[in-house]
Amino acid sequence: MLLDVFEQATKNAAALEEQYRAMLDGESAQNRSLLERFASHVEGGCIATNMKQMTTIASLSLGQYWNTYDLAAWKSEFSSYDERLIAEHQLGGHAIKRFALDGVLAHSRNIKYGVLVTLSAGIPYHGEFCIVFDCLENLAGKHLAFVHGDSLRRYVGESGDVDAPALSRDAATFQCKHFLATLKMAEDIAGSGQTSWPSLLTRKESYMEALFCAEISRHNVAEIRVQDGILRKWYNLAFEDMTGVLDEKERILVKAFQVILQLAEEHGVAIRGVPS
Amino acid sequence: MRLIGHARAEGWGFVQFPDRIRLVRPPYGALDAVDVREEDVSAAIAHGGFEGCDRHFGAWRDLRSFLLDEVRRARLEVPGFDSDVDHDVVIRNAPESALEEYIEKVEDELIPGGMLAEAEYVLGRILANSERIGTPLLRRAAGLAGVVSKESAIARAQLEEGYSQEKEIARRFPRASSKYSAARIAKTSKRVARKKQVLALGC
Repeated sequence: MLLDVFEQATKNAAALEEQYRAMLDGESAQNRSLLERFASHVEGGCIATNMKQMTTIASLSLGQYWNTYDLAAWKSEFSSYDERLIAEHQLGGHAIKRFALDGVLAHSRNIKYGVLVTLSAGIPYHGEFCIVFDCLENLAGKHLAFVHGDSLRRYVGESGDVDAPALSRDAATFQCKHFLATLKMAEDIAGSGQTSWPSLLTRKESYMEALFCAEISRHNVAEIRVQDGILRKWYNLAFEDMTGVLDEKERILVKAFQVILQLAEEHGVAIRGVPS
Repeated sequence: MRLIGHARAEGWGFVQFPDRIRLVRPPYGALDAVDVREEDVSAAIAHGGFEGCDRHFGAWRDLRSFLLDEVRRARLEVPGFDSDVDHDVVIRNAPESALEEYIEKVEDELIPGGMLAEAEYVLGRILANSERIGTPLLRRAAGLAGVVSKESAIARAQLEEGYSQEKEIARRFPRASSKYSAARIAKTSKRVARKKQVLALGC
C-alpha cells in the first residue's frame, strides 16, 4: 500500500505534540523557555525554494513551479522520448532513489518540494535566489507535509531501499511543523542565539523539507530573498559592467541578474536582501 | 586542482583540491566558495542539475575561464539571451545601499582616476531613474554630476589647448616637426627658455 505522507502527517499530529511536550518537561526552565521561543519562531515560517540564476529566469518567465515530472512532460512534447525516460535522464544517477521513493508515496507524480524558512534566504547552497511562496499552506490545504532534511538522502538508501516507517513517523502538518523542527534541532538550539535561528533552520545539512501538491503560479510568489552579501556582489558586478571593465563572459552573468530584476519588476515581485 | 562536476549554464563547479572539495560560484570571489562533502557532489550531480566531469587545471584563472566559457556557451543557446545589459533596470531596482555604494565609487574611484566618461554614465543613469530614489541620494548624484561636468570641461580645454599648441609648433618649426613630436619640441623649447639660450644646444 502506498504511503500517503499528507494523511500520515495528520495522523501524527497528536503524537508529535505529545513528544514535544514531553521533551519540554524534561528540560530545565531556562532550556524550556529557549525551546518554546524557537518553536514559536518556526511556527511563523513559510515555504520557499532556492533557485540558481537561470532556473529563476525560467520560473519567472514561464510563471510555473514544476517538479521533475512536470518538466519531463513538457519536454516530451518536443521529443520522441517518453516522460519517464526524460525524467530518468534529468535525475541522472539519482533516478534510482527518486523512483524508489516515489514508488512508495501516494500522489508522488504531483509532489513538489520546498523548504521551511522564517527570515532567511533559504539554502543558498541550492541556489542564490530564494523564492518565497505566499500562504502556500492555504493553496495546498491538506496536501502539505514536512519532514526533517532531504527526504531522498534521509529516507532512501543508495540501493533504493526506502525507510518508509521513518518517513511515516517524521511527517508533520503545517500546524505541527514547529514541534518537529524543535524536536529534531533541540541540540543545536541549546547553544544558539535567537538571531541565528533563521539560518539554523536552513542549514544545508539540516533543514525542514516541505512536500506539497499545489499548482503554483507567479502570483503565489510573495518575494525573492537573497543574502545581503550575495546581492551586493551582483550589484557590484553590474557597476563594473557600467564602467566597461568586464569582458563578454562576465557580462553574461550580469545580464542574467538584470533579467531576473526585470522579470521580478514586471510581475510585481520584490527582491529583498536579508542578513546572512 | 580538478573540476569534478559543474552546472554549465550557472557556472557553478565542484573543485577537488588536495585537502578538500569546494563549490565555486560566479563571480568567483573568495566569499563565493563553500566547502562541501563528497556526498554533496554526488547529490548535486544526481539531482541538482550538475554534470559530472574530470578536468585538471594548473591555475585558478584557467578554471575560472573554462567555467565562464561554459556559461557563455550555454546561455547564448537560450533564444534572445545576449550580453547587452540594460543598466536602467539595474538602477531602478537597486536598493539605496547599492546606489550609495555606486555614488561613493564614482566619487572615490572614477573621478579621481580620471574616468570621467564612466562617472558621467553612471550618474546619468541614476538621475534618469530618479522616481524610486530618495532625495538625499539624488542630491549627491546631481552634485557629483556637476563636478564631473566641470572636470570634463577642464579636460576638454586642456586637450584643445594641447591641440592648438601642436598646430602652432608645426607652423613655426616645420623642419623640426617633420622629425620630432610636438610634445618633444615643446619640452625642448621650455628648456631653452629656462637656460636663456638662443639655440637648443645641450637641451
